[in-house]
Amino acid sequence: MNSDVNATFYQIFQLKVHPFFYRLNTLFLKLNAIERMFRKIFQAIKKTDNRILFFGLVILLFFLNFYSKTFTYRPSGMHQWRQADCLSITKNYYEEGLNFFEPKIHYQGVKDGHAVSECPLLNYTVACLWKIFGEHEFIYRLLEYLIFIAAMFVLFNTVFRYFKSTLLALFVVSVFLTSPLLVFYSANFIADVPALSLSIICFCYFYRFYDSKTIRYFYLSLLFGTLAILVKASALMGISLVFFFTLADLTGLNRFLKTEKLFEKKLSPSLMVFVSVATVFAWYKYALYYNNNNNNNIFLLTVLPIWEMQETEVINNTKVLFNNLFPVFLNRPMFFLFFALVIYVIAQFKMLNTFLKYSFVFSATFFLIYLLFFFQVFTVHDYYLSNLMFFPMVTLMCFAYLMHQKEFVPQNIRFVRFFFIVLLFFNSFHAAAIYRLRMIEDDKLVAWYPFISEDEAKLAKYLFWDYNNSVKNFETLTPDLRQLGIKREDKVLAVFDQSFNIALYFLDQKGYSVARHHLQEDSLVLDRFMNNKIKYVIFCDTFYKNEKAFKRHAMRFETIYTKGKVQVLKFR
Amino acid sequence: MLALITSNGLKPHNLFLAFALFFGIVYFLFVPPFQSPDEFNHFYKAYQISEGKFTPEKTHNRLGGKMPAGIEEFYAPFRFAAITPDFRFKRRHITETFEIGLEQDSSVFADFANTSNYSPISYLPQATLIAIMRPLHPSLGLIYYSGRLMTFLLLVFVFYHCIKTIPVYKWLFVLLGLLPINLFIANTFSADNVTNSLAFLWITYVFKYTFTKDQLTIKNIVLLLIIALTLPLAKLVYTGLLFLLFIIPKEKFGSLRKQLSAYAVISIPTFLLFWWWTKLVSGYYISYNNYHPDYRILAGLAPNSDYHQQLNLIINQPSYFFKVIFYSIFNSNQHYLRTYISSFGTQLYHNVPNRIWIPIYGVILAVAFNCETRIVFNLRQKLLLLLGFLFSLILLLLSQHLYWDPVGSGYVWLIQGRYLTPIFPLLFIFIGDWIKVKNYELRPVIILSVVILHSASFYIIYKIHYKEPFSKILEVRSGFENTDANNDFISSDLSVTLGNHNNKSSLQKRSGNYSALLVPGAYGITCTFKNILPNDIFELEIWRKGMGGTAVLTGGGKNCKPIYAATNSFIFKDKKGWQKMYYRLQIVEPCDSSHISFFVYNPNADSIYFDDLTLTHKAGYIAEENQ
Repeated sequence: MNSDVNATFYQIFQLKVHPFFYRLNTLFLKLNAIERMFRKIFQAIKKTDNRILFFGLVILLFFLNFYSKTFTYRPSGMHQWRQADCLSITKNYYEEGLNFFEPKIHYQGVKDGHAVSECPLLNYTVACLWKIFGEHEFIYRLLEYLIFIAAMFVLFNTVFRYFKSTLLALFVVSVFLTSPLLVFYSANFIADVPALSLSIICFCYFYRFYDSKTIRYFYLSLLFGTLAILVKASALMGISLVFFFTLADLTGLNRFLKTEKLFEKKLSPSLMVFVSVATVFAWYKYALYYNNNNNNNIFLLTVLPIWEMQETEVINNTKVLFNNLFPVFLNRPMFFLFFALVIYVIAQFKMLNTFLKYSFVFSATFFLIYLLFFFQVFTVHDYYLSNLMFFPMVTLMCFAYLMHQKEFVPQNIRFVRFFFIVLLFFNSFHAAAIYRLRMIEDDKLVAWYPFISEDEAKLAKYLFWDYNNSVKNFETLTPDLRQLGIKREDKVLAVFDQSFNIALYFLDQKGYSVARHHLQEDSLVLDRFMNNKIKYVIFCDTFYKNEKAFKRHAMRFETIYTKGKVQVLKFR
Repeated sequence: MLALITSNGLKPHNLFLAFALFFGIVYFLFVPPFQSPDEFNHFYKAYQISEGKFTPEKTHNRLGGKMPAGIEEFYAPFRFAAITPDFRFKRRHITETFEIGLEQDSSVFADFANTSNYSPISYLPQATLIAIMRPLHPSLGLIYYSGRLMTFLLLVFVFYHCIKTIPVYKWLFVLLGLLPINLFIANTFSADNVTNSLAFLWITYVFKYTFTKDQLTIKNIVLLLIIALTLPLAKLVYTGLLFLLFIIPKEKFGSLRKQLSAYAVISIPTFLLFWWWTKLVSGYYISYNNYHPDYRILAGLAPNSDYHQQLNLIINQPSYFFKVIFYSIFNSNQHYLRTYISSFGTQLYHNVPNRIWIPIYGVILAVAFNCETRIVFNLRQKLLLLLGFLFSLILLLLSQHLYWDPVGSGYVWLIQGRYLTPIFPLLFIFIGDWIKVKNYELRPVIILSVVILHSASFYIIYKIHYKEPFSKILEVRSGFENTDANNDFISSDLSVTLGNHNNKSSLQKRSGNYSALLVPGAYGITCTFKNILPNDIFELEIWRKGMGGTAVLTGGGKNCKPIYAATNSFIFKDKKGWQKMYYRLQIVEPCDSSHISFFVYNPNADSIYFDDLTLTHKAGYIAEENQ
């Protein structure tokens, strides 16, 4: 009888209910067992070192995100454009001598390829590593990932040190380790996440200094803060806090501001702060000079504020920010949780210590000001949000502080543990699914994962198909170009590529690139490049030879290489 | 009405006029623009002449001329239709042409190598009309249809005049003049219309002066001279028709001196003009291999053709061209015979069935035998008719072989029946004038033949241009105006909604109050069609504003590979910057059953708008034998 009822129940269940809920039901049935398993693990770990738990989580997520596969991937997925820019600088360092102050890209711009944006510390380091270990793009990914994991480890230790809870420490770092944005950009080539990581390290050391007054933590925080702002100007939050508390103390405003007295001797810290400011100022002054001197304005070295936008653009970007970008910054439930925590922290603001109070106010203000100052980039540039993760970090620290004060965790350990496991489980799979959707073609997790819509999956499949049939053809062409006698200094025009450096970096050729829609809509677009003395045109798909812009000059080129859809034409 | 038409009282020219106007207007209304051979290039040439430019422009190994930008927009859908076998016209395709202006302030170079060497004579009516209309800034649709109507009416008037004037074989000319191919071509911008008119006028007046009782006057000679001068200019190959001049009996000239003088007055200027024009246009010739490679197909050039090399071959191997003539005339498909009667489409590949066009030749011969009660031409005259026909035919074959065939191909692969319109009457008269049968009443036979022929022809036109070859058609249209409870866009078909991924926007619109906005990196307007089978067709039409923006069709199914198709091209742009995108996907994957999803995507850094989407799923292909 029972089995019949069950059978009917399941038949109805399977027929009427979405398969996901069926899976969820199964999941809940198993959660008890999982919770028991985790309890045993926690108990075992209590007896050993909780750092094992941190590294265990990192390793689990490493494999869940399939980094084991994607670490060897070439620049790909979202913002391949910016990834290729970073690699282009690195490649040119590697190929053309390690002159730190002469960074170059493959795209030749108005004058030549001399261009820079943030301080190329990472690019230069990777180029040096390539000199030692050989040219492997995964070294770049690994370096950025290690910096990120180091920051997470410092954050984990800081939370644990001050709030005495492994669970809270794990919760705080897990928010970062499972942010879809950070999962994508932490093992990447773009400098934003390393800058954020350095900024977090800066904050953690300064917190420790603020608490212990051990001067070496001050210098460490100053060092990492300076590095952060050099690597990416937008990662200024960490060093700003350092400057604020330091200057408050150095100028005697600490009594007024009710901050603690930090320094016994003021000369040395003052000098180091000056060095830090001077270094940052000098670099950005040099970068502006360098780009202007070389007529190269490829990289953004200014702000793109909201007040320079038209109303329609503001509406557009607001839509994008809330519908496309914030869900990548933190998944929707986490985003709501984050705002709930912000409100909770505001409500309990008086209970925070002075350091966290100022940190919270500063980072919240920074969060809003940053959005307003860079509002124009929020059409598609999700990586610009990376440094805004500083605010969630501070909020989580405040939350951890409040939880510690209220001894909430020990009193509700079963609930907290359950909540944490469910959250971690969902966040990890969600971030991994989004990451793998962007990076891996026909991924099994993506196919299984219920919170990726069919439409998103179709779009991703199409993007892979489109890429495989176009720009990917450039990825393996360089040896053939060299066999044809084309040197890397010979100027080429890559057709098509809407970025400056994707195709040129893959080809390892100096020159120019032209976007598909420019070729279609501007019949004179080729003339401009021909005036820049290009020697070759490289098509990733010969279909685009039919565009008028090329047809106008087709007789002036001869085909010297054809392989599949790829064709190399020499300018007569 | 029927009684009137079939009554003995209705004269041949009146019968021709009635039927030509009636059937011709049907062709005028129902043959879509540019669906006849090379009509795109004829329109270009007519437009160029209307601007007073009588010779082609040659630049960067291209031949053609600068055209107003609007013409490209006007052409685009019809060019696409011409190369897409299953494309079917809807009313809006035609009505939209009346909204496109010339846009004379910007121009593009158009290649029309195959019509660029035609003389202004060939386009006189069309070009004159365009020149008159252009200052009034009419729509291109109006210019085109006015030009077509003008050409048609002129041809009908000329043929009417010829039938009325010609003293012999009137009924034969009625029947030949009413052949569907002639009325079809008459409703196009083709240069053939002027050529055919001039050829018929020449035959008419030569016959008239042959059978007139009076002697030829100076006025008559001048008239013949004018026609003789213009005929070779219209098409050089019909120079052979000038041999007909010799069928006019010598007594009509008055004396031998006058006869020779008339011959000299007519032939010498004609020859000089012929020579001058040939010399002039030969300087513009570009062979296929030397033509700009990206434009030579659109320019209408035949692959591997080369006038000079072909000529060398013919001169060096005298027997070669005789073989070419033999193989071309006695080939197995007789394309020229079927296309002389009734054929349609840009390649004239759509013909009436064999059971209709073959008997028509019997009717033509019967009419030729029965037209006159007595033999009207003597042996010398008959031989001259034959000579005129053969000389023109050989020139035609030679010209086609020199210009359009691959070097050494051994036969003329493109002889369309329409080329024979000016000279076939001579052959039919030559045959028909040997034997005379009992004088039967020809009207019912001619009327019946013409009605059957045109009925069959109209069905062909309906079939190739309008009749859907699919049994099920689902058309989904949306201007992104309204959304349902799930916030999805409502379409014209209530069973299909289009995914609204925050796309609805009032910032831009092509029609209505809203469009779909795609910010950078965004996608939207998603929908899925299920149960797709092989041979099904998907057509998408959508308007886009902004740079880039891709319309995507993806799909897959059981036991087959995934399907991907995408387009970011547009076929034309309107004045407000909206670009019309069109894409057609035929399912060739042998899936048991599959799905096709549609969406649009913005890969670029600027926002894009989409509006007025039409998605059509055509299923249940009806295979039909097409001759």
